[in-house]
Amino acid sequence: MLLAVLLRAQTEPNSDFLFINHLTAGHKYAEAVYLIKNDTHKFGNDTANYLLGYNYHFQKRPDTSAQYFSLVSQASPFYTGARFFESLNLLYAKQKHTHRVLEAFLPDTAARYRQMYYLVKGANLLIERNYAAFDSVAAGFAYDNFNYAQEQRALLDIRNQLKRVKRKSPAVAGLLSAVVPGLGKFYAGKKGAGMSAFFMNMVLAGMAYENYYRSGYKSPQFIFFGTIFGFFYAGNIVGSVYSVKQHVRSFNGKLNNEITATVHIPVHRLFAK
Amino acid sequence: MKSLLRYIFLCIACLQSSRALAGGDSLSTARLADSLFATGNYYVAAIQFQKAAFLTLGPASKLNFTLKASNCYKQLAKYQEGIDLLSVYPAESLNNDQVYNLKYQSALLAYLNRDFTLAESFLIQLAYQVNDSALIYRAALLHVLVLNEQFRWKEAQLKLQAMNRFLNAGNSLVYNNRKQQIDSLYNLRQVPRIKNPEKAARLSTFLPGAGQIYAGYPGEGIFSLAAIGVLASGMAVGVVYQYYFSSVFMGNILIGKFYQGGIKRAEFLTEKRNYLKSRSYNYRLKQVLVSSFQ
Repeated sequence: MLLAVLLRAQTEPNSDFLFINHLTAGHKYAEAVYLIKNDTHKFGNDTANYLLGYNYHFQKRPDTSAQYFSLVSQASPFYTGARFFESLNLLYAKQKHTHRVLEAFLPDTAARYRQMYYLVKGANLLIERNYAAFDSVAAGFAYDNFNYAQEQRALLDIRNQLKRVKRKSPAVAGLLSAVVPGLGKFYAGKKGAGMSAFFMNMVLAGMAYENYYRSGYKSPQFIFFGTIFGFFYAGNIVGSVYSVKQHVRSFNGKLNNEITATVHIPVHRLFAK
Repeated sequence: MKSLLRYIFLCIACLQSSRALAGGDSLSTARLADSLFATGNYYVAAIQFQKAAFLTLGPASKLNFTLKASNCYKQLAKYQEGIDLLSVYPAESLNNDQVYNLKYQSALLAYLNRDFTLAESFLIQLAYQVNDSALIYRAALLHVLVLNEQFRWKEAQLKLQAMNRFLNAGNSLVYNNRKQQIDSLYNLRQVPRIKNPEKAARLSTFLPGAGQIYAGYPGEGIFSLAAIGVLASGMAVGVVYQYYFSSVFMGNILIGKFYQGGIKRAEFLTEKRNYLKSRSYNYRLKQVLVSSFQ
Protein backbone atom coordinates (compact mmCIF):
# COMPACT_ATOMS: atom_id res chain seq x y z
CA MET A 1 0.00 0.00 0.00
CA LEU A 2 2.86 2.30 0.93
CA LEU A 3 4.42 1.56 -2.44
CA ALA A 4 1.14 2.34 -4.18
CA VAL A 5 0.84 5.68 -2.41
CA LEU A 6 4.44 6.58 -3.20
CA LEU A 7 3.99 5.55 -6.83
CA ARG A 8 0.86 7.64 -7.14
CA ALA A 9 2.71 10.67 -5.77
CA GLN A 10 5.49 10.07 -8.31
CA THR A 11 3.25 9.66 -11.35
CA GLU A 12 1.00 12.67 -10.68
CA PRO A 13 1.79 15.43 -13.16
CA ASN A 14 4.12 18.15 -11.99
CA SER A 15 2.05 21.17 -10.87
CA ASP A 16 4.47 23.59 -12.59
CA PHE A 17 4.02 21.73 -15.86
CA LEU A 18 0.25 21.81 -15.46
CA PHE A 19 0.34 25.52 -14.64
CA ILE A 20 2.37 26.26 -17.78
CA ASN A 21 -0.28 24.38 -19.77
CA HIS A 22 -2.94 26.42 -17.99
CA LEU A 23 -1.18 29.68 -18.97
CA THR A 24 -0.81 28.51 -22.56
CA ALA A 25 -4.48 27.53 -22.71
CA GLY A 26 -5.34 31.02 -21.39
CA HIS A 27 -3.22 32.62 -24.18
CA LYS A 28 -0.72 33.96 -21.63
CA TYR A 29 2.24 32.90 -23.74
CA ALA A 30 4.64 35.63 -22.63
CA GLU A 31 4.01 34.75 -18.97
CA ALA A 32 4.53 31.05 -19.72
CA VAL A 33 7.82 31.78 -21.48
CA TYR A 34 8.96 33.94 -18.56
CA LEU A 35 8.18 31.21 -16.05
CA ILE A 36 9.83 28.42 -18.06
CA LYS A 37 13.01 30.42 -18.59
CA ASN A 38 13.22 31.27 -14.90
CA ASP A 39 12.34 27.80 -13.61
CA THR A 40 14.02 25.56 -16.19
CA HIS A 41 15.39 23.35 -13.40
CA LYS A 42 11.82 22.41 -12.42
CA PHE A 43 11.10 20.86 -15.81
CA GLY A 44 14.34 19.51 -17.17
CA ASN A 45 15.93 20.80 -20.37
CA ASP A 46 13.90 18.75 -22.85
CA THR A 47 10.52 19.61 -21.35
CA ALA A 48 11.52 23.27 -20.97
CA ASN A 49 12.66 23.46 -24.60
CA TYR A 50 9.47 21.77 -25.77
CA LEU A 51 7.28 24.15 -23.75
CA LEU A 52 9.28 27.17 -24.94
CA GLY A 53 8.97 26.06 -28.54
CA TYR A 54 5.26 25.51 -28.05
CA ASN A 55 4.63 28.95 -26.53
CA TYR A 56 6.79 30.74 -29.11
CA HIS A 57 4.80 28.88 -31.77
CA PHE A 58 1.59 30.46 -30.44
CA GLN A 59 3.30 33.83 -30.25
CA LYS A 60 3.85 33.47 -34.02
CA ARG A 61 7.63 33.48 -33.71
CA PRO A 62 8.37 30.44 -35.90
CA ASP A 63 12.16 30.86 -36.07
CA THR A 64 12.58 30.96 -32.29
CA SER A 65 10.00 28.22 -31.85
CA ALA A 66 11.77 25.89 -34.32
CA GLN A 67 15.07 26.60 -32.59
CA TYR A 68 13.71 25.45 -29.20
CA PHE A 69 11.95 22.41 -30.66
CA SER A 70 15.21 21.38 -32.33
CA LEU A 71 16.85 21.22 -28.89
CA VAL A 72 14.51 18.48 -27.62
CA SER A 73 16.60 15.31 -27.44
CA GLN A 74 15.67 11.85 -28.65
CA ALA A 75 15.41 10.61 -25.04
CA SER A 76 12.44 12.91 -24.38
CA PRO A 77 8.83 11.66 -24.64
CA PHE A 78 8.17 14.94 -26.50
CA TYR A 79 10.72 14.11 -29.19
CA THR A 80 8.29 13.09 -31.96
CA GLY A 81 5.98 16.04 -31.37
CA ALA A 82 8.93 18.40 -31.17
CA ARG A 83 10.22 17.26 -34.59
CA PHE A 84 6.81 17.73 -36.22
CA PHE A 85 6.37 21.15 -34.60
CA GLU A 86 9.91 22.08 -35.66
CA SER A 87 9.07 21.09 -39.22
CA LEU A 88 5.83 23.09 -39.12
CA ASN A 89 7.53 26.19 -37.72
CA LEU A 90 10.29 25.99 -40.31
CA LEU A 91 7.53 25.89 -42.91
CA TYR A 92 6.02 29.05 -41.39
CA ALA A 93 9.50 30.60 -41.42
CA LYS A 94 9.54 29.94 -45.18
CA GLN A 95 12.39 27.43 -44.96
CA LYS A 96 12.75 24.73 -47.59
CA HIS A 97 12.82 20.92 -47.20
CA THR A 98 11.40 21.08 -43.67
CA HIS A 99 10.44 17.39 -43.93
CA ARG A 100 14.12 16.52 -43.54
CA VAL A 101 13.94 17.08 -39.76
CA LEU A 102 11.54 14.11 -39.69
CA GLU A 103 14.08 11.80 -41.26
CA ALA A 104 15.96 11.23 -37.99
CA PHE A 105 13.17 9.12 -36.45
CA LEU A 106 13.89 5.61 -35.26
CA PRO A 107 12.38 2.92 -37.55
CA ASP A 108 9.37 2.31 -35.30
CA THR A 109 8.41 5.96 -35.12
CA ALA A 110 9.14 6.46 -38.80
CA ALA A 111 6.81 3.62 -39.70
CA ARG A 112 4.10 4.88 -37.38
CA TYR A 113 4.17 8.41 -38.78
CA ARG A 114 4.99 7.56 -42.41
CA GLN A 115 1.76 9.07 -43.73
CA MET A 116 2.35 12.28 -41.76
CA TYR A 117 5.86 12.40 -43.21
CA TYR A 118 4.39 12.10 -46.71
CA LEU A 119 2.00 14.91 -45.90
CA VAL A 120 4.78 17.25 -44.74
CA LYS A 121 7.00 16.29 -47.65
CA GLY A 122 4.12 16.79 -50.09
CA ALA A 123 3.42 20.22 -48.64
CA ASN A 124 7.07 21.19 -49.03
CA LEU A 125 7.17 20.02 -52.61
CA LEU A 126 3.96 21.81 -53.46
CA ILE A 127 5.29 25.07 -51.98
CA GLU A 128 8.35 24.61 -54.19
CA ARG A 129 5.91 23.95 -57.09
CA ASN A 130 7.77 20.71 -57.78
CA TYR A 131 4.74 18.94 -59.22
CA ALA A 132 6.44 15.78 -60.50
CA ALA A 133 8.02 15.03 -57.11
CA PHE A 134 4.74 15.92 -55.36
CA ASP A 135 2.78 13.52 -57.55
CA SER A 136 5.12 10.66 -56.68
CA VAL A 137 4.78 11.42 -52.94
CA ALA A 138 1.00 11.85 -53.22
CA ALA A 139 0.82 8.41 -54.81
CA GLY A 140 1.73 7.07 -51.37
CA PHE A 141 -1.14 8.86 -49.58
CA ALA A 142 -3.30 6.23 -47.87
CA TYR A 143 -6.16 8.47 -46.61
CA ASP A 144 -6.62 5.94 -43.84
CA ASN A 145 -6.46 8.11 -40.73
CA PHE A 146 -8.92 10.75 -39.58
CA ASN A 147 -6.04 12.88 -38.27
CA TYR A 148 -4.66 13.69 -41.70
CA ALA A 149 -6.77 12.05 -44.43
CA GLN A 150 -8.72 15.26 -45.11
CA GLU A 151 -5.52 17.26 -45.33
CA GLN A 152 -4.00 14.78 -47.78
CA ARG A 153 -7.05 15.29 -49.98
CA ALA A 154 -6.75 19.06 -49.55
CA LEU A 155 -3.17 18.94 -50.84
CA LEU A 156 -4.35 17.12 -53.94
CA ASP A 157 -7.09 19.73 -54.43
CA ILE A 158 -4.52 22.50 -54.25
CA ARG A 159 -2.35 20.59 -56.74
CA ASN A 160 -5.31 20.44 -59.16
CA GLN A 161 -6.04 24.11 -58.59
CA LEU A 162 -2.44 24.94 -59.51
CA LYS A 163 -2.75 22.80 -62.65
CA ARG A 164 -5.72 24.85 -63.83
CA VAL A 165 -4.30 28.28 -63.10
CA LYS A 166 -3.43 30.46 -66.06
CA ARG A 167 -0.06 32.15 -65.80
CA LYS A 168 -0.12 35.91 -66.23
CA SER A 169 2.79 37.86 -67.58
CA PRO A 170 3.75 41.32 -66.25
CA ALA A 171 5.20 42.19 -69.69
CA VAL A 172 1.88 41.45 -71.40
CA ALA A 173 0.08 43.59 -68.80
CA GLY A 174 2.46 46.50 -69.46
CA LEU A 175 2.02 46.12 -73.22
CA LEU A 176 -1.76 46.01 -72.93
CA SER A 177 -1.76 49.16 -70.82
CA ALA A 178 0.46 50.90 -73.36
CA VAL A 179 -2.07 50.15 -76.11
CA VAL A 180 -5.24 50.80 -74.11
CA PRO A 181 -4.70 52.47 -70.71
CA GLY A 182 -6.19 50.33 -67.92
CA LEU A 183 -6.34 47.12 -70.00
CA GLY A 184 -3.27 45.72 -68.21
CA LYS A 185 -5.02 46.07 -64.84
CA PHE A 186 -8.11 44.45 -66.32
CA TYR A 187 -5.87 41.56 -67.43
CA ALA A 188 -4.41 41.37 -63.89
CA GLY A 189 -7.93 40.79 -62.57
CA LYS A 190 -8.53 44.27 -61.20
CA LYS A 191 -11.49 45.26 -63.31
CA GLY A 192 -12.55 48.32 -61.28
CA ALA A 193 -9.02 49.72 -61.18
CA GLY A 194 -8.70 49.10 -64.92
CA MET A 195 -11.87 51.03 -65.75
CA SER A 196 -10.92 53.86 -63.42
CA ALA A 197 -7.43 54.09 -64.97
CA PHE A 198 -8.97 54.14 -68.46
CA PHE A 199 -11.39 56.92 -67.49
CA MET A 200 -8.70 59.06 -65.82
CA ASN A 201 -6.35 58.66 -68.77
CA MET A 202 -9.07 59.63 -71.23
CA VAL A 203 -10.00 62.72 -69.21
CA LEU A 204 -6.37 63.84 -68.92
CA ALA A 205 -5.74 63.10 -72.59
CA GLY A 206 -8.85 65.13 -73.45
CA MET A 207 -7.63 68.09 -71.41
CA ALA A 208 -4.16 67.91 -72.95
CA TYR A 209 -5.65 67.74 -76.44
CA GLU A 210 -8.04 70.64 -75.82
CA ASN A 211 -5.19 72.83 -74.59
CA TYR A 212 -3.06 71.81 -77.57
CA TYR A 213 -5.94 72.59 -79.94
CA ARG A 214 -6.70 75.98 -78.36
CA SER A 215 -3.23 77.27 -77.49
CA GLY A 216 -0.66 75.20 -79.38
CA TYR A 217 2.03 72.85 -78.15
CA LYS A 218 4.22 75.69 -76.77
CA SER A 219 1.54 77.02 -74.45
CA PRO A 220 2.07 76.55 -70.68
CA GLN A 221 -1.45 75.06 -70.37
CA PHE A 222 -0.65 72.31 -72.84
CA ILE A 223 2.74 71.64 -71.22
CA PHE A 224 1.02 71.45 -67.81
CA PHE A 225 -1.82 69.10 -68.86
CA GLY A 226 0.39 67.16 -71.27
CA THR A 227 2.90 66.49 -68.49
CA ILE A 228 0.17 65.33 -66.12
CA PHE A 229 -1.23 63.03 -68.80
CA GLY A 230 2.27 61.69 -69.56
CA PHE A 231 2.84 60.86 -65.91
CA PHE A 232 -0.53 59.15 -65.62
CA TYR A 233 -0.02 57.19 -68.81
CA ALA A 234 3.48 55.98 -67.87
CA GLY A 235 2.44 55.38 -64.27
CA ASN A 236 -0.44 53.25 -65.44
CA ILE A 237 1.88 51.02 -67.50
CA VAL A 238 4.21 50.55 -64.52
CA GLY A 239 1.17 50.03 -62.24
CA SER A 240 -0.16 47.29 -64.53
CA VAL A 241 3.17 45.45 -64.44
CA TYR A 242 3.15 45.60 -60.64
CA SER A 243 -0.53 44.63 -60.53
CA VAL A 244 0.27 41.33 -62.21
CA LYS A 245 3.28 40.76 -59.95
CA GLN A 246 1.14 41.58 -56.93
CA HIS A 247 -1.65 39.33 -58.18
CA VAL A 248 0.77 36.42 -58.64
CA ARG A 249 2.35 37.07 -55.22
CA SER A 250 -0.97 37.24 -53.39
CA PHE A 251 -2.30 34.16 -55.21
CA ASN A 252 0.84 32.20 -54.35
CA GLY A 253 0.82 33.51 -50.78
CA LYS A 254 -2.80 32.45 -50.31
CA LEU A 255 -2.15 28.97 -51.68
CA ASN A 256 1.03 28.58 -49.63
CA ASN A 257 -0.94 29.50 -46.51
CA GLU A 258 -3.50 26.85 -47.40
CA ILE A 259 -0.71 24.31 -47.93
CA THR A 260 0.84 25.21 -44.55
CA ALA A 261 -2.58 24.79 -42.93
CA THR A 262 -2.74 21.22 -44.19
CA VAL A 263 0.34 20.50 -42.06
CA HIS A 264 -0.67 22.77 -39.16
CA ILE A 265 -3.99 21.09 -38.44
CA PRO A 266 -2.81 17.46 -38.19
CA VAL A 267 0.32 18.42 -36.21
CA HIS A 268 -1.90 20.22 -33.70
CA ARG A 269 -4.40 17.38 -33.67
CA LEU A 270 -1.74 14.79 -32.93
CA PHE A 271 0.73 16.60 -30.70
CA ALA A 272 -0.83 19.73 -29.15
CA LYS A 273 -1.80 18.11 -25.89
CA MET B 1 2.76 -3.66 16.79
CA LYS B 2 5.34 -0.90 16.81
CA SER B 3 6.26 -1.50 13.15
CA LEU B 4 2.57 -1.64 12.15
CA LEU B 5 2.01 1.77 13.77
CA ARG B 6 5.08 3.15 12.00
CA TYR B 7 3.72 1.78 8.69
CA ILE B 8 0.29 3.35 9.19
CA PHE B 9 1.90 6.65 10.16
CA LEU B 10 4.01 6.63 6.97
CA CYS B 11 0.96 5.88 4.80
CA ILE B 12 -1.07 8.68 6.36
CA ALA B 13 1.86 11.09 6.08
CA CYS B 14 2.29 10.29 2.37
CA LEU B 15 -1.41 10.68 1.63
CA GLN B 16 -1.61 13.94 3.57
CA SER B 17 1.44 15.35 1.88
CA SER B 18 0.18 14.54 -1.62
CA ARG B 19 -3.23 16.06 -0.88
CA ALA B 20 -1.90 19.09 0.97
CA LEU B 21 0.65 19.75 -1.76
CA ALA B 22 -1.74 21.85 -3.77
CA GLY B 23 -3.06 23.89 -0.85
CA GLY B 24 0.37 24.40 0.71
CA ASP B 25 1.84 25.39 -2.65
CA SER B 26 -0.92 27.88 -3.31
CA LEU B 27 -0.44 29.61 0.04
CA SER B 28 3.31 29.89 -0.26
CA THR B 29 2.95 31.01 -3.90
CA ALA B 30 0.43 33.65 -2.84
CA ARG B 31 2.78 34.87 -0.10
CA LEU B 32 5.58 35.12 -2.66
CA ALA B 33 3.24 37.00 -5.02
CA ASP B 34 2.24 39.40 -2.22
CA SER B 35 5.88 40.17 -1.50
CA LEU B 36 6.57 40.71 -5.21
CA PHE B 37 3.58 43.04 -5.43
CA ALA B 38 4.79 44.98 -2.39
CA THR B 39 8.17 45.55 -4.05
CA GLY B 40 6.51 46.72 -7.28
CA ASN B 41 7.43 43.62 -9.31
CA TYR B 42 3.93 43.44 -10.76
CA TYR B 43 4.61 41.28 -13.80
CA VAL B 44 6.05 38.37 -11.85
CA ALA B 45 3.47 38.94 -9.11
CA ALA B 46 0.71 38.57 -11.72
CA ILE B 47 2.14 35.21 -12.81
CA GLN B 48 2.52 33.99 -9.22
CA PHE B 49 -1.04 35.04 -8.30
CA GLN B 50 -2.33 33.14 -11.33
CA LYS B 51 -0.30 30.15 -10.20
CA ALA B 52 -1.74 30.41 -6.70
CA ALA B 53 -5.24 30.61 -8.20
CA PHE B 54 -4.48 27.57 -10.34
CA LEU B 55 -3.17 25.52 -7.42
CA THR B 56 -5.79 26.39 -4.83
CA LEU B 57 -8.88 24.26 -4.48
CA GLY B 58 -11.16 26.72 -2.67
CA PRO B 59 -13.33 28.89 -4.96
CA ALA B 60 -13.01 31.90 -2.62
CA SER B 61 -9.20 31.79 -2.67
CA LYS B 62 -9.24 31.17 -6.42
CA LEU B 63 -11.26 34.33 -6.98
CA ASN B 64 -9.17 36.29 -4.52
CA PHE B 65 -5.90 35.36 -6.25
CA THR B 66 -7.38 36.00 -9.69
CA LEU B 67 -8.49 39.46 -8.57
CA LYS B 68 -5.02 40.13 -7.21
CA ALA B 69 -3.49 39.02 -10.52
CA SER B 70 -5.81 41.39 -12.38
CA ASN B 71 -4.75 44.11 -9.96
CA CYS B 72 -1.13 43.51 -11.01
CA TYR B 73 -2.13 43.98 -14.66
CA LYS B 74 -3.89 47.18 -13.60
CA GLN B 75 -0.67 48.43 -12.05
CA LEU B 76 1.14 47.59 -15.29
CA ALA B 77 -1.56 49.49 -17.24
CA LYS B 78 -2.27 46.22 -19.12
CA TYR B 79 -5.98 46.65 -18.56
CA GLN B 80 -7.14 44.37 -21.35
CA GLU B 81 -5.09 41.47 -19.98
CA GLY B 82 -6.73 42.00 -16.61
CA ILE B 83 -10.18 42.02 -18.21
CA ASP B 84 -9.37 38.84 -20.17
CA LEU B 85 -8.25 37.13 -16.98
CA LEU B 86 -11.47 37.98 -15.15
CA SER B 87 -13.76 37.36 -18.10
CA VAL B 88 -13.07 33.60 -18.07
CA TYR B 89 -13.85 33.36 -14.37
CA PRO B 90 -17.24 31.65 -13.87
CA ALA B 91 -19.63 33.92 -11.96
CA GLU B 92 -21.96 31.05 -11.01
CA SER B 93 -22.00 29.83 -7.40
CA LEU B 94 -20.41 33.02 -6.11
CA ASN B 95 -21.91 34.97 -3.24
CA ASN B 96 -22.91 38.64 -3.44
CA ASP B 97 -19.56 39.98 -2.26
CA GLN B 98 -17.63 37.81 -4.70
CA VAL B 99 -19.79 38.76 -7.67
CA TYR B 100 -19.44 42.40 -6.66
CA ASN B 101 -15.63 42.15 -6.49
CA LEU B 102 -15.43 40.33 -9.81
CA LYS B 103 -17.72 42.68 -11.73
CA TYR B 104 -16.48 45.87 -10.10
CA GLN B 105 -12.85 45.05 -10.87
CA SER B 106 -13.78 44.17 -14.48
CA ALA B 107 -15.71 47.44 -14.84
CA LEU B 108 -12.85 49.44 -13.33
CA LEU B 109 -10.33 47.87 -15.72
CA ALA B 110 -12.63 48.54 -18.68
CA TYR B 111 -13.09 52.16 -17.52
CA LEU B 112 -9.31 52.61 -17.26
CA ASN B 113 -8.99 51.02 -20.71
CA ARG B 114 -11.43 53.73 -21.93
CA ASP B 115 -13.87 51.05 -23.09
CA PHE B 116 -16.88 52.69 -21.50
CA THR B 117 -19.49 50.51 -23.18
CA LEU B 118 -17.85 47.40 -21.76
CA ALA B 119 -17.47 49.05 -18.34
CA GLU B 120 -21.18 49.86 -18.31
CA SER B 121 -22.04 46.33 -19.34
CA PHE B 122 -20.10 44.96 -16.33
CA LEU B 123 -21.87 47.44 -14.04
CA ILE B 124 -25.27 46.40 -15.40
CA GLN B 125 -24.33 42.75 -14.81
CA LEU B 126 -23.31 43.70 -11.27
CA ALA B 127 -26.65 45.38 -10.57
CA TYR B 128 -28.48 42.37 -12.01
CA GLN B 129 -26.52 39.62 -10.26
CA VAL B 130 -25.90 41.18 -6.84
CA ASN B 131 -28.83 41.06 -4.43
CA ASP B 132 -27.59 43.69 -2.03
CA SER B 133 -28.51 47.38 -2.51
CA ALA B 134 -25.56 48.54 -0.39
CA LEU B 135 -23.13 46.81 -2.76
CA ILE B 136 -24.94 48.07 -5.84
CA TYR B 137 -24.73 51.66 -4.59
CA ARG B 138 -21.06 51.15 -3.74
CA ALA B 139 -20.47 50.73 -7.48
CA ALA B 140 -22.67 53.72 -8.36
CA LEU B 141 -19.82 56.22 -8.34
CA LEU B 142 -17.92 54.26 -10.99
CA HIS B 143 -21.13 54.04 -13.01
CA VAL B 144 -21.48 57.84 -12.76
CA LEU B 145 -17.91 58.29 -14.05
CA VAL B 146 -18.65 55.92 -16.94
CA LEU B 147 -21.84 57.82 -17.83
CA ASN B 148 -19.94 61.13 -17.70
CA GLU B 149 -17.44 59.82 -20.23
CA GLN B 150 -20.32 58.87 -22.53
CA PHE B 151 -21.70 62.47 -22.34
CA ARG B 152 -24.76 61.12 -20.49
CA TRP B 153 -24.62 63.73 -17.77
CA LYS B 154 -28.36 63.76 -17.03
CA GLU B 155 -28.35 60.02 -16.29
CA ALA B 156 -25.20 60.47 -14.21
CA GLN B 157 -26.91 63.18 -12.17
CA LEU B 158 -29.96 60.97 -11.54
CA LYS B 159 -27.77 58.05 -10.49
CA LEU B 160 -25.82 60.27 -8.13
CA GLN B 161 -29.06 61.59 -6.63
CA ALA B 162 -30.33 58.03 -6.13
CA MET B 163 -27.06 57.14 -4.44
CA ASN B 164 -27.39 60.19 -2.19
CA ARG B 165 -30.97 59.20 -1.27
CA PHE B 166 -29.86 55.69 -0.38
CA LEU B 167 -26.80 56.66 1.63
CA ASN B 168 -28.14 59.74 3.44
CA ALA B 169 -31.84 58.97 3.82
CA GLY B 170 -31.63 59.30 7.60
CA ASN B 171 -29.68 62.53 7.65
CA SER B 172 -31.59 65.32 5.97
CA LEU B 173 -28.85 67.92 6.48
CA VAL B 174 -26.17 65.87 4.72
CA TYR B 175 -28.73 64.75 2.13
CA ASN B 176 -29.70 68.33 1.24
CA ASN B 177 -26.08 69.49 1.12
CA ARG B 178 -25.14 66.69 -1.22
CA LYS B 179 -28.23 67.26 -3.36
CA GLN B 180 -27.30 70.89 -3.84
CA GLN B 181 -23.73 69.95 -4.62
CA ILE B 182 -24.86 67.43 -7.26
CA ASP B 183 -27.28 69.94 -8.82
CA SER B 184 -24.63 72.60 -9.02
CA LEU B 185 -22.10 70.16 -10.52
CA TYR B 186 -24.53 69.18 -13.25
CA ASN B 187 -25.92 72.68 -13.73
CA LEU B 188 -27.05 73.03 -17.32
CA ARG B 189 -24.90 76.11 -17.77
CA GLN B 190 -21.82 74.09 -16.91
CA VAL B 191 -22.60 70.95 -18.86
CA PRO B 192 -20.93 71.14 -22.28
CA ARG B 193 -23.29 71.30 -25.23
CA ILE B 194 -22.47 68.27 -27.29
CA LYS B 195 -22.83 68.81 -31.00
CA ASN B 196 -23.94 66.22 -33.48
CA PRO B 197 -21.23 65.22 -36.00
CA GLU B 198 -23.89 63.92 -38.40
CA LYS B 199 -25.62 67.31 -38.33
CA ALA B 200 -22.27 68.99 -39.09
CA ALA B 201 -21.83 66.65 -42.08
CA ARG B 202 -25.37 67.42 -43.29
CA LEU B 203 -24.78 71.16 -43.01
CA SER B 204 -21.56 70.89 -45.02
CA THR B 205 -23.38 68.84 -47.63
CA PHE B 206 -25.85 71.67 -48.29
CA LEU B 207 -23.47 74.59 -47.78
CA PRO B 208 -19.71 73.95 -47.82
CA GLY B 209 -18.11 75.34 -44.66
CA ALA B 210 -21.38 75.46 -42.66
CA GLY B 211 -20.51 72.24 -40.78
CA GLN B 212 -17.16 73.67 -39.68
CA ILE B 213 -18.86 76.86 -38.48
CA TYR B 214 -21.42 74.75 -36.56
CA ALA B 215 -18.53 72.79 -34.99
CA GLY B 216 -17.08 76.08 -33.70
CA TYR B 217 -14.37 76.65 -36.28
CA PRO B 218 -15.66 79.62 -38.32
CA GLY B 219 -12.24 80.37 -39.86
CA GLU B 220 -12.02 76.92 -41.41
CA GLY B 221 -15.63 77.15 -42.55
CA ILE B 222 -15.07 80.43 -44.39
CA PHE B 223 -11.84 79.13 -45.94
CA SER B 224 -13.60 75.99 -47.16
CA LEU B 225 -16.42 78.03 -48.74
CA ALA B 226 -13.96 80.48 -50.30
CA ALA B 227 -11.78 77.70 -51.76
CA ILE B 228 -14.77 76.10 -53.46
CA GLY B 229 -15.93 79.53 -54.64
CA VAL B 230 -12.54 80.29 -56.20
CA LEU B 231 -12.44 76.88 -57.92
CA ALA B 232 -15.97 77.34 -59.24
CA SER B 233 -15.06 80.82 -60.53
CA GLY B 234 -11.95 79.41 -62.23
CA MET B 235 -14.15 76.81 -63.86
CA ALA B 236 -16.57 79.50 -65.08
CA VAL B 237 -13.71 81.58 -66.51
CA GLY B 238 -12.39 78.48 -68.31
CA VAL B 239 -15.79 77.92 -69.90
CA VAL B 240 -15.97 81.58 -70.99
CA TYR B 241 -12.60 81.14 -72.73
CA GLN B 242 -13.93 77.98 -74.40
CA TYR B 243 -11.76 75.51 -72.48
CA TYR B 244 -14.88 73.45 -71.90
CA PHE B 245 -13.42 70.04 -71.38
CA SER B 246 -10.50 71.11 -69.15
CA SER B 247 -12.66 73.44 -67.07
CA VAL B 248 -15.48 71.03 -66.48
CA PHE B 249 -13.32 68.03 -65.59
CA MET B 250 -10.61 69.90 -63.69
CA GLY B 251 -13.22 71.90 -61.81
CA ASN B 252 -15.27 68.83 -61.04
CA ILE B 253 -12.32 66.85 -59.77
CA LEU B 254 -10.98 69.64 -57.55
CA ILE B 255 -14.34 70.90 -56.31
CA GLY B 256 -15.43 67.31 -55.63
CA LYS B 257 -12.31 66.67 -53.57
CA PHE B 258 -12.71 69.88 -51.56
CA TYR B 259 -16.44 69.29 -51.10
CA GLN B 260 -16.09 65.69 -49.88
CA GLY B 261 -13.08 66.59 -47.74
CA GLY B 262 -15.05 69.47 -46.20
CA ILE B 263 -17.87 67.12 -45.13
CA LYS B 264 -15.41 64.69 -43.47
CA ARG B 265 -13.55 67.59 -41.89
CA ALA B 266 -16.77 69.01 -40.41
CA GLU B 267 -17.51 65.65 -38.77
CA PHE B 268 -13.99 65.38 -37.43
CA LEU B 269 -13.97 68.92 -36.06
CA THR B 270 -17.30 68.38 -34.27
CA GLU B 271 -15.99 65.22 -32.62
CA LYS B 272 -12.76 67.00 -31.69
CA ARG B 273 -14.62 69.92 -30.14
CA ASN B 274 -16.93 67.55 -28.23
CA TYR B 275 -13.95 65.65 -26.91
CA LEU B 276 -12.05 68.74 -25.80
CA LYS B 277 -15.08 70.30 -24.09
CA SER B 278 -16.15 67.12 -22.32
CA ARG B 279 -12.62 66.20 -21.30
CA SER B 280 -12.05 69.35 -19.27
CA TYR B 281 -15.56 69.23 -17.77
CA ASN B 282 -15.30 65.51 -16.93
CA TYR B 283 -11.91 66.06 -15.41
CA ARG B 284 -13.30 68.66 -13.03
CA LEU B 285 -16.29 66.43 -12.27
CA LYS B 286 -14.04 63.47 -11.53
CA GLN B 287 -11.93 65.50 -9.10
CA VAL B 288 -15.00 66.65 -7.15
CA LEU B 289 -16.83 63.30 -7.25
CA VAL B 290 -13.86 61.23 -6.14
CA SER B 291 -12.97 63.62 -3.31
CA SER B 292 -16.54 64.19 -2.05
CA PHE B 293 -18.55 61.05 -2.81
CA GLN B 294 -16.11 58.16 -2.43
